[in-house]
Amino acid sequence: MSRNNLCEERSYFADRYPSPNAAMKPAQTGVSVVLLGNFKVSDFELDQIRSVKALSENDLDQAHYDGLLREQLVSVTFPWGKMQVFTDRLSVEVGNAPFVRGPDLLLKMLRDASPASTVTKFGINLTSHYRYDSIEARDAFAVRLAPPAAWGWFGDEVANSFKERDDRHGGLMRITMRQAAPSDRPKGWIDVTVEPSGLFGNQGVAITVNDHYEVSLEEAESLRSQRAISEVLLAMVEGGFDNSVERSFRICDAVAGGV
Amino acid sequence: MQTAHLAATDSREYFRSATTADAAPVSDDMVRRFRRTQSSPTTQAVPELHISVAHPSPPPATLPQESLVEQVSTQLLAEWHGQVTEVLASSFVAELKGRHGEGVAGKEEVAVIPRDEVSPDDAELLEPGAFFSLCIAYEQSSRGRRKFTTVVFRRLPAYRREELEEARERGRQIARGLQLE
Repeated sequence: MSRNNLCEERSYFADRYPSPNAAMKPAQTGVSVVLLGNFKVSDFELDQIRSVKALSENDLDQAHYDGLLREQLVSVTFPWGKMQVFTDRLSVEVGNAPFVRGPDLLLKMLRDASPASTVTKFGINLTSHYRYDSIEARDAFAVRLAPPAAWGWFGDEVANSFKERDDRHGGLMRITMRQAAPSDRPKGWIDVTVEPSGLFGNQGVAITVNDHYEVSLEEAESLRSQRAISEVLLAMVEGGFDNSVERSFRICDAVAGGV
Repeated sequence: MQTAHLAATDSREYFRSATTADAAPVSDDMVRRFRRTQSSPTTQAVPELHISVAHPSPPPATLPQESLVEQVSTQLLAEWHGQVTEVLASSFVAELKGRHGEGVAGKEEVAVIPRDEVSPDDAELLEPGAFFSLCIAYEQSSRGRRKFTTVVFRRLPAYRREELEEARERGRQIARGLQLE
């Protein structure tokens, strides 16, 4: 396919699915919070969760507990999410709103059940799944993000395959854009990744925001102790979670709708 | 001795020695996933929970599109964070702050919410001062779409950071005032 033809292809998509201003809303959203640091895994077993009432009795009754690696890995799945604890990583995934249950669970476990654990950095992640009207609409969206024309002759061949169906149909697999050093934190970034979603067949797109926070080297030196750094980071989780999630919602909608 | 033994074995051997007899056998894949997860950044493996993505776009022909549409999806329409101000016989009064949703985010209001909206599990948390989250969402499935409300009371740490800071400061003041003999 020549460059001209490719331009015609893009025009075809643009005319048929112009919608850069269309309001795209996610059909499904999930949130996770990932803390990195040093964690005492045995503090996160079911008995401890129960004793500090971090989950309701009903959630605990339905919880599935895996102590996969003693002192190294605990995984608890409950009706609204999942918590995993490693010696260097603590995470919670929340499948449905209210998402604030995720950080609440982590903060309650860290403050009330595992005060010896400390945090060195963390990320708040949101994944929204969008359903497009057709595979052509999804292709048009992908072409807007990563025009095949920018990929030379290889991009031409990929663009040609848009006419094909099933596993002969190529296209964008995964793309990530980073905002480096956002002004609302000492150190960190916001990564936004777009990839296919398995939720809606070949019409789905998943957009994930990784909102990452650390303390700067200067701040770490002034705080001196790991405990103090951890407290600063936990305060960021507590005070910044809602704004992070809301911003991530807006980012996803903007990327999906092109506004 | 035991420590030396554990240090000399790989994760899989440790897994075998640490789990009960009826636990599922550990596979190479589990060990790989375990190691990968340990070294990964703060990007969460969300796909594990929600989706079975990571398939080249688009899915193969052997996967009928209709079967995927059968899945249930939940779309959040609006969310408020609330604090209980008064508990009545069959309802409670709360101050609400809009967190998410068109015409909702950023707005404050007072609402009277039926106690029926509170799950029996959260009933013990319903008291003046308690924090909760109220969400309205659409659930889409093959049977159609339904709108529902969720009220979830927040399970917060016993001590908040500000309270700990205040306690530390009080401690410092007391320590400064101590007369050592």
